[in-house]
Amino acid sequence: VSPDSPLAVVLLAGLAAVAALTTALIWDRVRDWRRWLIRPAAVLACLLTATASTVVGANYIWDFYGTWHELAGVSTSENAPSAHAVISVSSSGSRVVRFVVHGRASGLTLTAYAYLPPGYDDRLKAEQLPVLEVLDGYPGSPHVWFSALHAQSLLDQEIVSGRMAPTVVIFPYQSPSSTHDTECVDAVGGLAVDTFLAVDVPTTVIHEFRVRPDGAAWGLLGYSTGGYCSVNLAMRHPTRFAAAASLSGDLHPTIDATTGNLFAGDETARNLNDPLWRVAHLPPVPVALYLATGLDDRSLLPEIGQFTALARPPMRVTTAGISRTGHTEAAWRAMQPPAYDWISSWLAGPLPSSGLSR
Amino acid sequence: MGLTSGTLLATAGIVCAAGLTALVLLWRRWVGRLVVLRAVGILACELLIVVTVGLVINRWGQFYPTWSSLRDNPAAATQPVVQRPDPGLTAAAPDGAQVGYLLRWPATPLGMTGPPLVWLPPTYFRDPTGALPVVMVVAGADAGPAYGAWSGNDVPVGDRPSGGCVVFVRVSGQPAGGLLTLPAQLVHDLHVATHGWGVVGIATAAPAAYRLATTDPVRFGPVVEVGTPGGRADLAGALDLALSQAPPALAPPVVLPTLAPTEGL
Repeated sequence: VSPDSPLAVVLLAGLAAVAALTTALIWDRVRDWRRWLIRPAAVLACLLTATASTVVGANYIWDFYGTWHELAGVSTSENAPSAHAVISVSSSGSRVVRFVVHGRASGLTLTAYAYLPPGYDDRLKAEQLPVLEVLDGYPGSPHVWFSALHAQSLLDQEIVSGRMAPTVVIFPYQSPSSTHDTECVDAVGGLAVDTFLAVDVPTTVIHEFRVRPDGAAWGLLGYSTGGYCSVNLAMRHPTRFAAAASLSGDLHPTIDATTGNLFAGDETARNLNDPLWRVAHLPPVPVALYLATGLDDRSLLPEIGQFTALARPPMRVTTAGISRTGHTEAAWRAMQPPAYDWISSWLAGPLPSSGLSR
Repeated sequence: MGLTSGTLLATAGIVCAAGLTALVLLWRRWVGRLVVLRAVGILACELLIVVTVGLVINRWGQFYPTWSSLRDNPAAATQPVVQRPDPGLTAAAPDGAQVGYLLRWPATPLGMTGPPLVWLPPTYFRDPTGALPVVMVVAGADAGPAYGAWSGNDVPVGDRPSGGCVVFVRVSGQPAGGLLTLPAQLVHDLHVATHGWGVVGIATAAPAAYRLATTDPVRFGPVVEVGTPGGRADLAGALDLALSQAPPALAPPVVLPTLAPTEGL
């Protein structure tokens, strides 16, 4: 029973009901000193089962995590196979495979998924394809893209229609622990996630898949925290990434209980990971950015306005708004096709291994 | 009452507190067969706590800022606008879909020695909706085949790539203002990409190519030099290199409305 299945929700809700009923029944039956043990234990059982059913219910609705390991925050690289394990194959012929990134530069070893477009094994066999690195929000995991956000079918749809070039799409984990939000930065004295995503993932992908190695053909896309990560990484590594699309992503790093003190009080490190600070204080970099948001996402709209006003060539900024969405998966489902089309138009296309046909 | 309003949150908190108080007060009265009400009371209070905590989290994160965002589906992206080739061009190039067409631009832009030549590959005619990549080749008035350039009003077959459109222009020694206005005219009249254009500068015109790329960095990518010290010797190779850096031909995208400048402020 996976944590995003309705059966898990029903089982845990049933357990909460049993705990409540048991508490009601035993409350008056326990007397003398034992009531001081059993009654608090019963109340605790009620709270725990209610919390567990709420967490699993929320996971069922929003599909943050697909396995109990992920939900419990266990390392996402454990038990991962070294070879490409096929996770799913679509009717259009695309497939998703799992692989492991052994990060030499960052020291991180994490699982990642690769979407291989229709024709990867036959029609496109002689071509090196562009690459899109896709990042999830927090809480979340790559699983969200394949379940709640329908990424595989939406990518198929855009590629088959010719609105997006055949592209290898990589979905890496962004943290060894699902309870730790890394914001994709190189934390001061902590995890080097920026290095993992901008150096180790490209190195592994170039080695293991038939992709273009040059930065002109590499892009980033993410939602929520992943959107912030995409813009921040593109601005920090303009030779590795030519374009980035942010779906409801902030334009500054978030520091809270889930991130811990990422910058250990180092204001310079914080500023260098703040796209709004960078666009205001550093020379513009040659990247194209797509900033999409729900029109009712009132916290993000002013930031995008501020960022757009400060951006100067050669940085290119495109904005997009969608109504009645909030900061939700419904928004990110609707934002995906335009974002895929947009980013494909900013990345160098597939390159025949033998040179361009004439 | 808004979904993230303080009023709703306060109401939820009061109801939650009232529920817990009622459970405590009624607990002793629910005995015998009514003991099942205790269980119902516990579950109801748990539900009230979950709803209240959910509302607090939603107010903090603004996940569902309005009832509408909770209830309705988001507006869909707009459907692609299908582009059509210029009918006059189709008539002028009946064999365009087989052999392509070298179009002589009907005007001479400012600072150029003659009308630009625009190579439209067969793909341009076969797919009337796709936005093809473009490379702009800038040569001086005196640059000929010896420098890797074309001669007169003809372009060698080898310099006509199938993967994209090529605009061949010759600039005079004067500032070529037409270089900056020509791309917008081409985008208006032809179904070509709006950005990601390649630039090739031949021999003495290389500086003009760099000026073009730096003046309009949104439209143009890196410059490839031909016939210069350190540059490539052949135009065909330069065109291949420039096209390899350009986005591919793509069908019209689905799009969302662009944010108005005032929407973000």
